[in-house]
Amino acid sequence: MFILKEAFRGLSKNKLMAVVTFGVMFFSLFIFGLFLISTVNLFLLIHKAEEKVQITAFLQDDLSQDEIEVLKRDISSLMGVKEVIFVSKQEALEKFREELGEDSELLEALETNPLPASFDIKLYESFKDPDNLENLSNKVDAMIGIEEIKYGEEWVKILDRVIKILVGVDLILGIIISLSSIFVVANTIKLTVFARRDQIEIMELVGANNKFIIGPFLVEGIIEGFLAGAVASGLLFGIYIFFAARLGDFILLTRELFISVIIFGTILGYIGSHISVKRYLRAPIGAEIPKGK
Amino acid sequence: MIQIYDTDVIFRKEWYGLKDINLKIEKGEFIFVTGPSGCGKTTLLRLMYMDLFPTKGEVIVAGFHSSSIKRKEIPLLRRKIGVIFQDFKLLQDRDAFDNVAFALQVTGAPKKQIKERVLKTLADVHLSHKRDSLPYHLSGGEQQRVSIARALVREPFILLADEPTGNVDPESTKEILALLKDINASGTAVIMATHELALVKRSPYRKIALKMGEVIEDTSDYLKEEIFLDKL
Ligand SMILES: Nc1ncnc2c1ncn2[C@@H]1O[C@H](COP(=O)(O)OP(=O)(O)OP(=O)(O)O)[C@@H](O)[C@H]1O
Ligand SMILES: [Mg+2]
Repeated sequence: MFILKEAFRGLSKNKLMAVVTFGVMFFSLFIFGLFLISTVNLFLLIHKAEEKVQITAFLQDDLSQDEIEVLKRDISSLMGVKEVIFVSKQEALEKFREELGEDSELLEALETNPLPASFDIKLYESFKDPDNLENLSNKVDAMIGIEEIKYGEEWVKILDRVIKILVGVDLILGIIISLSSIFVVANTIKLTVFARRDQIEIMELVGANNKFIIGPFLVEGIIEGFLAGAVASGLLFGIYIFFAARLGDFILLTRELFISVIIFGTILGYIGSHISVKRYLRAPIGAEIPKGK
Repeated sequence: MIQIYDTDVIFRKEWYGLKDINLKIEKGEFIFVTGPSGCGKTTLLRLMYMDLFPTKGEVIVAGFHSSSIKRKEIPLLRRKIGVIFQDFKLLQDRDAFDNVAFALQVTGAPKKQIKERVLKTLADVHLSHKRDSLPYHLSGGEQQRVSIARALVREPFILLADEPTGNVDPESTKEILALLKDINASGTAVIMATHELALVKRSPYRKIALKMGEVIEDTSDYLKEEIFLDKL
C-alpha cells in the first residue's frame, strides 16, 4: 500500500521527469514496434517464398497406374516429404494451356500431348535448405521410372543466402534496439532517482527494507512503461490502419504484436528502474567499507 | 550496549579516519563527542549505525557485530537507532506529520499505530501545532525537532546526533539540548557530536574528545579498564 502511494506521489510530484521518462519510453517502444512489424512481415515473406520451393519429378511416359502408385508411396516415405501430388499428362496440358492464354490455339495443332506427367513433391519447412533439396532430389532421381528432376537449384541457393542474411540482420537489429532502449530508459530514470536520492538515504537511515526502498521506483517504472507501450501501440495501429488501405494485405499485424509492445514497455520500465535504483542504494544498503590498508 | 574494540578506519593509504578506538557505552548514557573539524566525529557515529565498517577491529551495537552482520540485518539495527544530522534531512515534499510517519511507513507498520505514535512523538518535541507544516515553512530549530521526532518515533534505545545544533540559532540550540536531555532522562542513550566546546564545558556529562582520529580524552576512563578486563 505504502509502495503504491509513494509511487503515485513520486509521479505527481515530479511531473516533468515523469513526462520526459514517458516520452523516452514511448519513442523507444515505437521504434521497437516498427521493428516487430518489419520482423513479422519479413518472416511472412520468407514463408511465402519458401512455400514455392518444391521438387518436381517428371515421369517416364510408359508407366502403368500401379507403377505410379508404387513410386508415389516410395517418395512419400522419404524423410522430409510432406505431400506428393500427382499431375497427369492431361492436367499438365491444361495448366500449360491456361498459362499460354490467348496463344493456346497453338496447342491445337499438336496431335499428341508433349507434356510428361509429374509429381509435385512438397516438403516440410525445415527440409528446404539447399543440401537437403539436393540430397532428396538425388534419391528421387535414382528411382526407376523418374525421367527428370527439377527444383530450381540456383534460385533455392540464393533464397537460402538471402534468408540467412535477413534473419541475421534482423536479430542483430533486435538486440541493438532492445539494449539501447533499456540503456536510454535506465539513464532517464536515473535522473528521477537522482532527484530523490535524499528519500533513499532517509529510508536506509530509518531501517527500511530493500523492498520498500526500491518498490515505489519499480512501480513508477512499470506504470510509465505500460502507458508508453499502450500509447505507442495505439499509434502503430493508427499508422497501420492508414497504410493498410494502400498496401492491401501485404502488411500483416496481429493483436499479439500490440500486446508485445505493451509487455516490452512494462519490462522496460521494470528493468530500467531496477538498474537505476540499485545504483543509488549504498553498497548494498548503507554500509561503506573503506578500502584502506 | 555499544562496544568498540581496537578499531581503525582507514580511508586511503595512511589516511586514518579513526585510529585505535576503544570505547564502551552503557545504556542510558549521555555523551558528548568533541574535537575540531575533521577529527573523526562523524566517522565515529557512522560506525555506530553501521553506515561504515571498520578497517580493523570490531564494533558491536545492540548485539550486532560489525564483523558478522548480514546485509539484511542492517535495517533491523537501524530501527533500534535514531540518527539526526546538522542538515535535518527532511523530505521537502511532505509535512511534519508525514516526515515522522515515514520512518514507520517504510517498515510496513499498521496505519492506526502510525497515527498514534506520530502524534505522541510530535507532542514530545512540542510540535503538535505544526504537524501540517511543510519543512519549508518551519524554522531551523523546528525542522530539527521534526527530525528528532522521526528518530524517536520508533523508540530507539540510542539517539545519535551529529552536530544537531550546527544549523540553528542560539535560542533553538538551548531548546534542542533541553529536548535531548529529556530524551535521555526517559532512558534513551544520547551520543552527540559537536565542536561547540562552550556547550560541553558546562555540562556534567561524559565527554569523549577526538583529535586526528584518536581519543585524547574520555571522562569516564574507568570504562577503559573494564574493556581491558573484558578482553582478558
Ligand atoms: N568517505 C570518506 N572518504 C575519505 N575520507 C573521509 C571520508 N569521510 C571522512 N573522511 C576523512 O576522515 C576525517 C574525519 O572526518 P569526519 O567527517 O569524521 O570529521 P568530523 O569530526 O565529523 O568533522 P566536522 O566537524 O567537520 O564534521 C577527515 O579528515 C575526512 O576528510
Ligand atoms: Mg562531522
